[in-house]
Amino acid sequence: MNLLKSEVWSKVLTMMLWVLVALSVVELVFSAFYVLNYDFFYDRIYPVYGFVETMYVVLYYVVCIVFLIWIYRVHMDLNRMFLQFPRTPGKALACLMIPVYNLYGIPSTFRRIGDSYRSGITGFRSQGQWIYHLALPLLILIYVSNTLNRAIARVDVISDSLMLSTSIVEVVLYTIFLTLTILIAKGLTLARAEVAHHTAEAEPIIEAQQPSVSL
Amino acid sequence: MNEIPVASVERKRKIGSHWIIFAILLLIPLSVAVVGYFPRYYSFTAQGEIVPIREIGVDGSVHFVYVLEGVTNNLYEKFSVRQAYPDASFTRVDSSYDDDIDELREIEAEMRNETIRHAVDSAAKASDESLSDGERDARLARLFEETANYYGDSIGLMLGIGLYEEREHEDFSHGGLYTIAGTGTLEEDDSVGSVGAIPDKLRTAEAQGADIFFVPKDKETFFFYGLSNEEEARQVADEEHLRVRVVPVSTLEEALAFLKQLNS
Repeated sequence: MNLLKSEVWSKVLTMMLWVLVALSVVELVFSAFYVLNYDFFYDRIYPVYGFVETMYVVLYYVVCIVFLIWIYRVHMDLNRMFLQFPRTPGKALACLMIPVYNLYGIPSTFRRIGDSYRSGITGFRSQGQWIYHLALPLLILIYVSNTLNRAIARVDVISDSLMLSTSIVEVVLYTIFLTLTILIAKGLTLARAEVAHHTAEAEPIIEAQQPSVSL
Repeated sequence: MNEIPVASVERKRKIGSHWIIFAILLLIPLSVAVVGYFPRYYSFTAQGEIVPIREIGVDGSVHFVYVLEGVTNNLYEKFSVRQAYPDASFTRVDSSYDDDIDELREIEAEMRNETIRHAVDSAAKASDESLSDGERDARLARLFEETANYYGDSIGLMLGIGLYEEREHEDFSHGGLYTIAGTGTLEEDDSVGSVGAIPDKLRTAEAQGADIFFVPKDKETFFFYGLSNEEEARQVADEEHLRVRVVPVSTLEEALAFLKQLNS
């Protein structure tokens, strides 16, 4: 079987998510200083805070685009390897991107992948369960994060609790995204190996039959 | 056997490609951050607030106006200020401006104290009641302390009116019927001097529901470059169809005379 359509993008997304998680942790540390020692934050951290914040925000949007490319290609692979897989790449994108509909679309996308993994890939049952069960917390955290960010944009002075809770939610959210990406990519690699194994087992039979039809 | 090198080359190509894509994509936020943080200086002014004169311990009904001013050191800070104050207007300045502004603050603080002295003296003169030296010094000390967070001398006229109200037990707002605000220095001879940031001050007064806005009547005396306070205020009020009534005055007495003829 050919290489996975999503293989390169899985690696790219994983690396970018590692960077995003790292930056979100840095931001959490900055937020902790903002809460615990504002003077120190203003004198020492604020000069670099803007640089990190700018990178963080722009990287987030880049990761969003990479994620959409990746999920599209993942579904191309899923449709090739799981013949009964119930969602096309286009529909998967629609599920993630259409507002309100994505309340159903986001968890269902990951639940279907998790479902297919736990029932379709030998030795990947527990990871499939993880993907399945992380879908709902992911949705909740996306909405909590959006709500907190909107609240930050509205207020003149950001309260300590708002600043800290936003940072914590973002670290957890991006860690879940990273975990899901790693698990889904790993599952696809295993599924490909399984398909390749079955194909290899089937090939000698085809070869054995060939002499009988050739003259 | 021929297939093995082909697969190996393909694999190497794939291994390399994700690093290349990753590096290119990572350059995007990095570049934006570098551009955003590249030193580039802008001074800005933005709408502030009208503040009841009572907030600085004067028993009057009028308001003074402050606007926000500052310097941004790069595009990120400029963006942040614009997010916080969408109406802010920016002017490109050079890097020395940031250092100059500290000196300017000291000068403005001295100018503020000077106009407060004039306001106290002018209000005493206007109310025909003299102040003992002790009373004057105590009053000045309190006012210097209460206004320590404001810079510039544009509080003079409104402070003079507020102090007059206090001494004469007047309420020019007629129980809050009128919201009276304004700007302008008060000089030693009771005349009202020109100030800066008239458009932002006028917009602030309009946004905060002021009915009357005093400005210096300085068309004949304005010696800076550009429009006088009086002309600029009229221009902004006309162009933006402001509801607030712009009242140019040249002395404290003129402002008091206008307020005394206001109907309740």
